[in-house]
Amino acid sequence: MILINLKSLVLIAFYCGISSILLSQNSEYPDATPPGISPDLHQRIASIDQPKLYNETAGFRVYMNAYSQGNSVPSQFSNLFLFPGFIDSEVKNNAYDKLKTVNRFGAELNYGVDLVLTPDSTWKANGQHIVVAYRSQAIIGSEFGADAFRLVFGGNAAFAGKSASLDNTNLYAVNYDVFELGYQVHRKKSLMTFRLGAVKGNALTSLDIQRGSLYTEIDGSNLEIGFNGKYVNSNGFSNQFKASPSMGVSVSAEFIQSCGEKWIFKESIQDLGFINWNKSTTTISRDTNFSFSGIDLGSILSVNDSTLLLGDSLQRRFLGDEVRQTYMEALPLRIQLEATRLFSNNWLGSLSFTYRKLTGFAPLFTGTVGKTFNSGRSIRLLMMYGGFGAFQTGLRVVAFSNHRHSLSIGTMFNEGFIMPKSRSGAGIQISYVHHL
Amino acid sequence: MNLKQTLCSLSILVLIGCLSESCKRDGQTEWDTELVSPILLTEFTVGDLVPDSLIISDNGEPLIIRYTTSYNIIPDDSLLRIPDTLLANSISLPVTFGLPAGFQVANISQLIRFAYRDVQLTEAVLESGSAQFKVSNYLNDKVFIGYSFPKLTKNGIPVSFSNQVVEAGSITNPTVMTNTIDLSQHNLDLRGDNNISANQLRFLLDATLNPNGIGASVFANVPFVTYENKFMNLKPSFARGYLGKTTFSFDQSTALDFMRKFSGLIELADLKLDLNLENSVGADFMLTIDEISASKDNSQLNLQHSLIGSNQTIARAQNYAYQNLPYSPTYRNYSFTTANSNLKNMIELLPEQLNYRIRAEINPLGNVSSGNDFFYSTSNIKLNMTLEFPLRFSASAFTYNDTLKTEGIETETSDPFKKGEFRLVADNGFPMNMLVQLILLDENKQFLDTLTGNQPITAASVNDLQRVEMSRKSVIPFPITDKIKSSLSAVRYIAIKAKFDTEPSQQLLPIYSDYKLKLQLIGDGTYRIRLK
Repeated sequence: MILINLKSLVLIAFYCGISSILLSQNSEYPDATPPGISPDLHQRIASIDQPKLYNETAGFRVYMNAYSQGNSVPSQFSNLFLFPGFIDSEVKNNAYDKLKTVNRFGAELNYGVDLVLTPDSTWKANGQHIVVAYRSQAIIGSEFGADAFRLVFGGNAAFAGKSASLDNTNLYAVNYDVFELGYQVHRKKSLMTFRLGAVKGNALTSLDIQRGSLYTEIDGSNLEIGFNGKYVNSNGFSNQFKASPSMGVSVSAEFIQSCGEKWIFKESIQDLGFINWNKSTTTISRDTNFSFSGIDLGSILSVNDSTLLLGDSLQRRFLGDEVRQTYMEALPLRIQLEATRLFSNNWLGSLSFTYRKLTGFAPLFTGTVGKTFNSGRSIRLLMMYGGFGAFQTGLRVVAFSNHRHSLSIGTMFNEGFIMPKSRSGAGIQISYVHHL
Repeated sequence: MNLKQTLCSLSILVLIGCLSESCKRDGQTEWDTELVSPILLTEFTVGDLVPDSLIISDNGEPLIIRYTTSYNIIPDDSLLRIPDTLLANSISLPVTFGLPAGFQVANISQLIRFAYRDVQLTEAVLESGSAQFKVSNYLNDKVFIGYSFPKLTKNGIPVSFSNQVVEAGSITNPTVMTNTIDLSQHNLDLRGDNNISANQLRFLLDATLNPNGIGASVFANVPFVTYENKFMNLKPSFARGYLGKTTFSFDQSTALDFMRKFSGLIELADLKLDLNLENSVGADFMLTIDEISASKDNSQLNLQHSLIGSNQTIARAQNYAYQNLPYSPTYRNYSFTTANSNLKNMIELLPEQLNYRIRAEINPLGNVSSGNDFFYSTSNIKLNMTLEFPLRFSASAFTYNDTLKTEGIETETSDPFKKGEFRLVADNGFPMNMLVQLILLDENKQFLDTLTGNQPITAASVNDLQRVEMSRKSVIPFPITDKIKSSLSAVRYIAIKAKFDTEPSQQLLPIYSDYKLKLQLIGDGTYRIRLK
């Protein structure tokens, strides 16, 4: 059988730094609303001067954050992964024009629900609560050179007679669900939450190319491939159901403390834990150089009645025999520190630092200026530097907030609030809190 | 909570849900990439067309094709095998009688005659074969049997069996005893009792009723003991005698399957056919080659040579060892050349089949050896033919056709190839222009499409010695059309049609062992990647 699966030829590019899983998104700009069910403590502090005792018996919060961000790839391009569509030449060329020596790109989508319960009056009197939460998390982080990007999205034809460098190309994409059970205690001037989560891994793709190159002969007659790196793939969602599920644990904690009447400090850690990906996970570490001039049939007439698997042959040569085994990987840990200063007339300002153990994510510094109105509504302007991009701005509005409801909507523009046409990131955040 | 608040809450939940879902992909992110990559690499040498066993490659010299074949004129199952022979008999009395204990039921001496055409063998050493003796006892007491072949010996000891007990039987249910002897390495003296006859072997049988029994009754004319001896599959390793005066006809065709793939015009340099007749039988032969012919399709061309149709006598082999053989064969050699025959025309026909019609008569002059003809198991009249010609030719529209079977060429149903072409890069080391076509056929071998165009692979140039020094590269593009893409999944056969024209034309060009055609298939096109 002659089986010519030329699609597989494309995979060589994928394995050199291309992943087809640019689907996940995530946000990494300050979340002004604490993850607990409390009415926005910041807002309370800002608007009512002192945090009030939390006296509701139950409540929930639903939320969704989505964003993509990069230091070079325009939003016009990355949005096509958030909102699927065709990436045409114009979009690609715009992206090519903005490529830098080292490019970073990340995206995140998370959504979930938190439920806070107060079992009895004793708990209520002591400000103690039980937290039950579900969160779906999809994150991608990447770091790559200009050649890798052009190779993935433009193909190798443009590199005919040249070598495309894939050095230091990294990609990390993960999708998992977290089911959390937590304890929250609410004091007069503080809110502390501790959560223990069971994590179910859905999909993982990790590529770390320390050294990589693809030389394409000018007439396409030969490919010279060099690769030193590691590739891990959980082989999609379906395998996570066929085999024993990929499970892990996580720990998250948050502490908010007001100091005096003017200062509020917040420290949080999220997703300190790991997932043990099941035995369907492909792990490949290769340090290889080889030349490919096509599948060598030997004699032309030897193909008679033979099986010819072009793509397989190339992949096998590149990847070697596939080995599937369990693989343990840490979750993308996030640590955040924030200090808020209250001013007169319901103005506030804050500074925060966010660290994330995520490919391509640089430490993120955020400055916030906000004003809270007597109606419970508020508006905040965020200015950020770091993360996947450089300078970013954000706008966050609390549409309304009272004892029962709180709705906040936020947006984020990477280099775009001031220069919309050159933005290379965008995001949206919606959070609704309801107290029963 | 009032109704307004509840509705508001539900609305917000629905909004968040919808936004979350919208961020999941209900469509596909896709983009086009321009890929260029080698796909297949293959090469073509003379060995791909002609079996390696036929090619003689002396270092630096043009290739020579040597086709050798040989035939045995005498069939294995004729002269060289003694016919199966059966001796059967029964013993009865003309009156009803009571046989006493110890009665000698039979004391028989019989001559076995081998019906062996007009062959009169006097001596044989058996390579294989067997003798099966079977006796049936109808008496109501056991019988003691002895039998022997005095002139069937092994290492000088006759084959003999005594006191073989055959248990009591009955008229309706006799007791049967069977004894089979492996006769390999046995000697047969077939000269009979007087040592001057042929094809005769004496058989002795003795049967005695149980001397310790009570006797047995027999009825008039009713057999009470029957016996038979069967010689089966006797194949001598050596035999002597008069081998008769038989004529063997040899009418056979040899299919040249690899030649079926060629057609067109070709002009060969000189060639020759050596025909060697080997007689390893100790008898004279008269051999007549009535016909040697070549056929292709419906045309046939007979070889014309003075040998055809004339009687050729081949003297007998001598019965003394020669080299590794126990005998010394005699030979006759004939040579067919361009000068003395039309052999060249016959081969330029590119025959698919060679036909032979030959007669061989043994001892055409009768028993001139006085019964001293002989043969060994490896003896025969052997026809050895060697056709040899230098691979030096001029070809015009010389065509090679072959069909490869495949189980289909897999393509993506999502049609990821948007546009593009294949490029066939040919590095041609032959002094021939080649036009190669790949024709796609369905399971009924019906035409689907043609993959290649009309651009030929250019011939390499030859120097003054008519030798190629440097190969020549040709690039043949052929676009991947929608029609081809839609046809690929239905492909079950790929027909290859290659047309060769030597360059320069009208000149006989030698082919060397290092001539090679390298083919590389390169894909160059737009490939659409879809994220799933």
